[in-house]
Amino acid sequence: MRWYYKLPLRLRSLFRKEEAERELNDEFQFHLQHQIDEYVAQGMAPEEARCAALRALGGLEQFKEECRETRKVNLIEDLLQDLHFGLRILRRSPGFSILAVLCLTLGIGANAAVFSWIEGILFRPYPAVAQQERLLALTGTARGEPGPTAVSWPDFVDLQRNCTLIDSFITAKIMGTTLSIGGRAENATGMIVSANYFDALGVEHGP
Amino acid sequence: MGKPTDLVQGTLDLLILKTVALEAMHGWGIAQRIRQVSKDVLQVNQGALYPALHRLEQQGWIQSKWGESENNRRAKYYSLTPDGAKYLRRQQAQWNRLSVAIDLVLETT
Repeated sequence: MRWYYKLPLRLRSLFRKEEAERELNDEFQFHLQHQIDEYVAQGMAPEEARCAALRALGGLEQFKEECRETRKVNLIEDLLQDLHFGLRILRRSPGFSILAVLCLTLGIGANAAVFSWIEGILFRPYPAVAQQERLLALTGTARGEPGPTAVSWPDFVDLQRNCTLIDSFITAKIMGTTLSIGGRAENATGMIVSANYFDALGVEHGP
Repeated sequence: MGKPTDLVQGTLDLLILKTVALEAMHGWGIAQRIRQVSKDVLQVNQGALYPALHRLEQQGWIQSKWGESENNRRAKYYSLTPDGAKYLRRQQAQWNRLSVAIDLVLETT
């Protein structure tokens, strides 16, 4: 049940410092008033009583600081104690601790791997392209043909000239070629693309 | 003349808890009550009293509430929480054991 009294105080010293500070001031002011009243009752003049009371109260600021200290230190001290306790429990059962750490390592590692994989495949499949969310694929269709068909060159030229919805059209076709260097020949897979390919994608290419 | 510095560590807490156990009191009242009840032997310095009150409050043994004082001023009244009452009983039992033990040692001839 102690938390019921402690929690609001903790929260207040965290978030409502000014209020706590004002109340601290009021509390000391109240004490000072009482001290003055007592001195007046003993026969002192009010002004004299005030000075005497301030003297009796001594290092007022120092007391206030000590009161503030009780608010701050507890918070940090409790945290340290909790940390200490946690470490002690971990040290008491090293097998369990190692198992827990391993589980966490695996879990976090697997999570990170899956996330970077998903990001690569689904969210940003072409990291070199400047604005890949504006990229569209266009294919032709033909009556009687089940899948997509190639777009003819005249169609492409028409689209490029007349379609204002799209900034620019590019074409690409995957194909193979044979590279021969000296006496060695090798089959390489490549792509034949239109001249505006790199400019349209915003890919920085070398000279 | 017993000054707070002469008091055994933790005794001031015990005195404060016992004093506010009877009724809700403000800081000034607590100091006066301790002085009167101890027949002027124990004079609680406000420099020790207020930090102790704030510490006990932060620990949840006492709670505070603003109210009107006997001469119509706004004062912060401290009272014991249920946990504080239990804590007081424990502390008091411990104090009794300690003082009996010290007496035993001192009165051995």
